[in-house]
Amino acid sequence: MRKKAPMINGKTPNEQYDLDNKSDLLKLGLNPKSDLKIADKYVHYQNCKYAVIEFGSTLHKAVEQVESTVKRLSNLGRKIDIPIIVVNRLNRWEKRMFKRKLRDKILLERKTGNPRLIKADSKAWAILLFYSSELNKMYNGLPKYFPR
Amino acid sequence: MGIYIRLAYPTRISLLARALSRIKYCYESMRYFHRGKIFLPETIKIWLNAPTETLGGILKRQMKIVNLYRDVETLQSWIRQEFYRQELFSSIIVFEGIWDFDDAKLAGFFSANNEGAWRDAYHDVEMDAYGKGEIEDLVDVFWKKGEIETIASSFFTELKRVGRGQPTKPREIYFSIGAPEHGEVANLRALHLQDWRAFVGFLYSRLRRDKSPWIKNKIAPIDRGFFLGSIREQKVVQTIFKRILEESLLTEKTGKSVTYIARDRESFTKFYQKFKEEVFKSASQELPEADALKKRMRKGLERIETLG
Repeated sequence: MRKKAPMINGKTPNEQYDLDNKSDLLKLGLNPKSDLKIADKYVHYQNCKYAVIEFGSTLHKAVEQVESTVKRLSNLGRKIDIPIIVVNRLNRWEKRMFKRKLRDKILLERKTGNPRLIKADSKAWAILLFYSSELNKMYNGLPKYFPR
Repeated sequence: MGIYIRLAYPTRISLLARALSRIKYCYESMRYFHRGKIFLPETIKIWLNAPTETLGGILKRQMKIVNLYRDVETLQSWIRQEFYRQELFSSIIVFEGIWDFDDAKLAGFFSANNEGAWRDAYHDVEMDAYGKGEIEDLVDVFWKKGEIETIASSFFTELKRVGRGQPTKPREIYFSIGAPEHGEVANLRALHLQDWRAFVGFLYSRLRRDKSPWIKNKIAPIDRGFFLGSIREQKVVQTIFKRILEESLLTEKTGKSVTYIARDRESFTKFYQKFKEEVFKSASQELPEADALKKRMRKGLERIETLG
């Protein structure tokens, strides 16, 4: 099944690199052999934002994959604006450790309310968290003529 | 999808002994897959709080694995010396490596979770692979290859063997999509428990999360132990249990403990739905409702009031 990137500010991506695909990895300058812990997609949105996206089954694994990809792409001088993780659900205990800012979907630590940041090259990125069910709603809500 | 082990501890056992037994089970699980040349361990990382900087983790120590047995021995003696001094009770010990399947190589890990909140979410020992392409993670590989039954039962047997000389024993082992929780049936592929009674208790935990009015009104006011004990002592429940197992395509492997393995993605959910309707709901039919109980209690209290 093809995984769809979440819409950001109502925009869908117009350019996508599939990071599971060898030729796409080479295009980005990543080594396909040494990049086993890698996210699923690197995309460009219509509003000129670049995102790294991981569709994961557990929160910590998805974060680790996005983190490692963001650091590698950033080292190669690739632009990154938003790291995104998409999970099916969080279990009760994951929800006790982390929460999400309802409006802008930023992943926060529950205890302090601080966003969890990926840090590399003196930059920091807050992670956006989406649920798979939200993605379905995003795309099902689009008018028929919209590219899917 | 990963494999998760929840351990049962005797009451009087130190934090250090608990941490060492987590490492022991982590090592034995890794050895099981390493022997089959499926998992090749590369590094040991000792994190505090979380296993990644982004989630607030601090990397305390890192070792390259040359000889798995010797390196684990070194790790254990270091933990013995430094456990209290370096506050390693909030540590997460991660063995990183490569899962080598015939058609794909995936990065993966085994972790011993000493940090409390982390352990609540991801259990005592967690093992998994980082997804790539069509493969989501570890259990997904076994499921797609049709090897889940063979691997789950031999893995459980191996861990039972390990548990024989240990003060701690595996209480629950999950093969699950995402991080499993007690009573969550939707994401399970295989489950190992002490006995079938524990499985009924597991289903009861799921039942209490349902929002149907009959559960809130009839089952919630009754003590869990009393309700489950009364159900499990009925012979008819065992018969129904066996029949539903077959209908839901769940394989049961019994010995001193019991293993349930799904033959269909929905097996555990189907089993729960049927068991809920046929056993839990039937057992609660003649029970008084919460309001009726409250009324009787009020009556009793009013009598005291009039006497006073």
